[in-house]
Amino acid sequence: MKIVVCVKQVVDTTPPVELDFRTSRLPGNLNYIVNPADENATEEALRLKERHGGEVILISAGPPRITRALRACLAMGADRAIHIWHPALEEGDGLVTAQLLARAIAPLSPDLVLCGNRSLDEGTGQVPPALAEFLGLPQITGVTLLEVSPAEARIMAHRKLEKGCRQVVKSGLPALVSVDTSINRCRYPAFRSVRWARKEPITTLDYEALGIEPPDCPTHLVKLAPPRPRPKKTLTMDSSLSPEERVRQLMSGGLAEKKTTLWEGTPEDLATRLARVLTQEHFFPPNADNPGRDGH
Amino acid sequence: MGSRDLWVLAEHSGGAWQEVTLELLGEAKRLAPLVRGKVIALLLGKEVSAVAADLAEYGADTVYVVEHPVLETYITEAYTSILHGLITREKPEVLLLGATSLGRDLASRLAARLKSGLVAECVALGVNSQGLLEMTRAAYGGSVYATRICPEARPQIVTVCPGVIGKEKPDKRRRAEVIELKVDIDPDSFQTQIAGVIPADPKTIDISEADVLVACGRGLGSKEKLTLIQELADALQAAVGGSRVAIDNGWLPAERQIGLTGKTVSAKLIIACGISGASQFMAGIKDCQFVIPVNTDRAAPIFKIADVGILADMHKFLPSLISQLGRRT
Repeated sequence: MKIVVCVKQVVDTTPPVELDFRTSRLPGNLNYIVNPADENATEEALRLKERHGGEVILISAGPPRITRALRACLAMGADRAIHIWHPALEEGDGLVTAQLLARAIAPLSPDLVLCGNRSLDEGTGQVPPALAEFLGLPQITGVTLLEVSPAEARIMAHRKLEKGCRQVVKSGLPALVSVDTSINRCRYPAFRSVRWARKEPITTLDYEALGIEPPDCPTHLVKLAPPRPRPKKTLTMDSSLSPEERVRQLMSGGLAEKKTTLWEGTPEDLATRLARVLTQEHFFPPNADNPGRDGH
Repeated sequence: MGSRDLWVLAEHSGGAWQEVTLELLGEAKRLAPLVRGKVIALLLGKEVSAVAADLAEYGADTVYVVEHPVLETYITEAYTSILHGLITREKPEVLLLGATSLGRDLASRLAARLKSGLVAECVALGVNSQGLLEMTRAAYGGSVYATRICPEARPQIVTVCPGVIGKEKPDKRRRAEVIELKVDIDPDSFQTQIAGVIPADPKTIDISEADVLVACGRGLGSKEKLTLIQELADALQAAVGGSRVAIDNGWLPAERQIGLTGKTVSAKLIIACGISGASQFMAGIKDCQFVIPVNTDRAAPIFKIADVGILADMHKFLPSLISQLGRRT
């Protein structure tokens, strides 16, 4: 089985990134790491290789510094790595990256393309579906469990949905799968393989080698700003309340007080009343598909 | 030259709207006059036309309904080809999607097929002087907000994070034109198949995603009493959370803490047992819809935000409630 893993090097966002908003430049002392989800994708690829045999090829698009990320993943056990670079990538968004990756991956004709489902720094998760489209492959995104049967050229995956649900998706191979960080725990590379990975040559491809013009980027950056979300719509305070009461509400974080009467009585009595309310409001009996009152 | 309409992809599953769909409609209604277009909601599914009118109340001027048995669950190939067909025909100005498991999967694939611009996971939208959408998203772990525009390619595609805009009150008088569209899809040509959905296990679900919660606090008294909370949670298929006291005493693991130092929860129902309601805890549950505190202290602040307040000792009341619920099944 030939598996291609897409790797991105990202800014470690654990210490807050302080941007100079006048020049829109990133500070020079940033710490770069392998995107965590891509590390999981590499791990998954290596496990598949161990089980079914084959080859794991890493690929990454970005400035020369990203070869460090490729070497970190090589050390985990991948067979070889390809690096793509052109200065125009710097301005581009996920669509540009996906087009370039597709151009480099297509000649390899892999059975499976693995990506992390989103990056730590940008976090758009835009590349995997766009890459699948450019390669003409079916996609399964946000995968938490993956089973591959190379003999039948089929895969089965659990895909993350909202509220902790999972969708079970089956697909033929070749396919593209983007993995969630919960899919596995990454191995720790052995010292020997770290040493080997430091010296292993990495092929670098530029636009010329790929045989295409730098693709156009449809979106443009217009502004970088300190984070200031638009305030969420909240209900205005009741103007009939006294100022003191309104200040108290402000201090409590905008919690609206509700006029409720306390229920008192024997536990049995209260339990009967509450059980009735829970039934009326459709909280009971529980329904996995639609808990809650009006479905909104 | 296409229309100047704003399209919103509506998500409806399990008999309920995704909250973000309703938020997007409100936002589209606000942006529509600035873009000089109409708000058009797209509803794809199996037998969904009955709920199409809801979309008008939240801001849609027109609703396009596409019904097909294969659309019962989301499947990338079907949605991409249908939307691609509709968009190349109608040429909308803007396409808004929620940054949900569906929106994330679909938006980028669609943008790639249309060769159009996508700005994903936005937190704010605006319109500049040329009528272009200004799409703002967080980058570098939230320490920078980047605003992008899409000057030429159409439609301008955006996914918006759920919960950041907030939904408006529905206007019951609003009506929309509902147009049913016929599409030709051949499910046999799909390379992927959906084999089903595994429901969330309330015992392992993240409390911030839980729809029903049973929470305990100091009033619990000891870890042994946790079985009481768990029994009630099992009866309601609820997840278990706790106040800071419950976590500090080692009764519950830290990932189950509700409040400022824990997690903000947005359950549709929360039963808070033996929690008086310190402001830190209250901040954590302010998005919950139906709050039922059980407490012996008449003056406990949590009763102020209660929908039903039970003045009782949880150790006496909960066994009764559990047996009552047991009898009702």
